[in-house]
Amino acid sequence: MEHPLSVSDVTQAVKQTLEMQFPPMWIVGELTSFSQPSSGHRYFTLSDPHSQLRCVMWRSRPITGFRPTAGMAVLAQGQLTVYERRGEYQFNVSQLFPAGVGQQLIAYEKLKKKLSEEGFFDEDRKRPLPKYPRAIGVVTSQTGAAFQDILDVLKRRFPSVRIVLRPVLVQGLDAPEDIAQGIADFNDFGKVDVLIVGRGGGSAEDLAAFNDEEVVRAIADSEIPVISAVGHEIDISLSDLTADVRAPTPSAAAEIAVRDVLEVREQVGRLTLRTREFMQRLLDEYEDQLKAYESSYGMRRLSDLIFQNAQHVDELNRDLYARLRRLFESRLADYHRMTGKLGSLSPLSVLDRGFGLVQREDGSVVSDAGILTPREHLHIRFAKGEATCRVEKIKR
Amino acid sequence: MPKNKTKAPTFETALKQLEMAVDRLEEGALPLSEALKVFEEGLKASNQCRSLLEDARQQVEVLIRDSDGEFELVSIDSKGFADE
Repeated sequence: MEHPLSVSDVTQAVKQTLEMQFPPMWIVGELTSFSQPSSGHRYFTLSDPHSQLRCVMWRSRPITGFRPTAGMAVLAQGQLTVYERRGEYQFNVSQLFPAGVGQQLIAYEKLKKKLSEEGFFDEDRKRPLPKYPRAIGVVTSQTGAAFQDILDVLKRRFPSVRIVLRPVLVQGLDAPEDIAQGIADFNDFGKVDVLIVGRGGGSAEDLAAFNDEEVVRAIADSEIPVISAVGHEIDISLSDLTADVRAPTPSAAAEIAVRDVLEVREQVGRLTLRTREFMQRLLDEYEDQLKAYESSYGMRRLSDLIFQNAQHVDELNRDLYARLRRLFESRLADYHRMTGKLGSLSPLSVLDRGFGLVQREDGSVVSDAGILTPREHLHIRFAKGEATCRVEKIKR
Repeated sequence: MPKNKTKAPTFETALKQLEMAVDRLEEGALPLSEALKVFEEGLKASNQCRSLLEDARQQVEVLIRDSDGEFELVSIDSKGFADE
C-alpha cells in the first residue's frame, strides 16, 4: 500500500490542477440565490437547466450599472478555484454583467485583442503632433458641447489657428460609418495639420461608436495625426488606444493641439532680444577694437608722422606768412607813398586854394577861351559846390 | 502630413528662421557685414512671427463634400452656426 495522502494534500493538488487547467473565462447563466452579507462579499449560484455553479464575488470587485436579482440572465468573468475548507469548487467572479451588456463587452474584448495583435495600439506607430498647426480638422457633432469646448479653448490659446469642422453623427447606428467617412474626407481634403476626433461624455452606449472597428480603422489609416477625445477622463475607447494622442476630454484635445500663444509670443520676444543684444555686443566689440587700434604702436606711429608733418607745415606756413607780411608791408608803404603823391596832384586840392574848375557841358575841362562859343553854358566847380554860367564875351 | 504650398511663410518656418539667425549670430565668427545681414533676416522673421501671432480672428469653417466628391468650405461663426 502506498503512503496515504492527507485531505489537504489532495485538495491542494485538485486546486492546482483546476486552476492551471482552466484559465480565466466568461460563463453565462441564470442568477439564483444571490446574497450579500454584512462582509460585503456576494455569494450566488449560476444555473442552467442541468447544472449549478457556486460563485463568490469579493467586495473589492464593483458591480456597476445594474442590481443583480435572482432569475436574471448574467455573464460572469472569473477563475475556477477550490474552496479548501469545504472541498468544493467554485467560480471566483471578477466582473458581472447583465447578459446583453456582457455580450457587447465580450465583442469589445475580442475586437480589442484582434486590433492589438494587428499592432494598432503600438507606441511606435504613434506620430508626433505638429508643433504649430495652421489648421485643425474636427470630426464631431456640430451642435454638441464638445465642439464648442474645442472652439473656446483654441480661441483662448491660439486664436489664429484655422478650424475646419466635418460635422458627424456621434451616436446611433449610423454614427460609426459617418465618423469613419469624416476622417477619410479630411485625408482626401488634406489642408489640415491635425485631427481631433471625439465627443463629449455620455453613457457606454453613447460612446459605442468610438469602439467600432470601422472608426478605429479610419483612425489607424489616417495620414493626418489624430488626437482622440472621447467622453470623460475615465472613458477609454479603442479610438483612444489607436489615436496618436489620447486626450481625456475634447477641451484637453484642443489644449494639446496648440501651444499657448502667450508662451509662443514670449519665445519670439526672447529670441528677438537675443539677436538685438548680440548685435549690440558685436558693435561694442568693433568699437573697442577701433579704440585698440587707435592706441596701438602702428597707429601711434602714424599719428606721430602726421603730427611731425603738421609741424613742418606749420613752420612752412609761418615762414610764408612772414614773407607775405613783409611783402605786404612794403607794398603798403609804396601805396601810401603813391597816394600821398597823387593827393597833391589832385585837381580838387587846388580848388581849396580858391581856384575853380571850368567844364563844358560835355564834361571837358576848359583851359583855352578860344574854343568857347558865346552863350554856351559852363560848369564851374568850387572847393564846395558848383555853378552854371553863361559865356557873355570871349577874349582870345 | 499633406504639404500646403503657399507663398507666405508659416509660423513654424518663420520661427525656425529666427532661431537660425540667433544660432548663427551666437556661434560667432561672422564678419560684420554678414552678421548685419543675418541680424536683418532675424528681425524680419521676428516681425513675421509677431504678425502671424497677432491675428486674433478665429476662423471656423465647415467641410462639405458635394455629390461629385468636391470639397467646399462654409464659414461659420465661433458659436458654431453658419453665417448665412
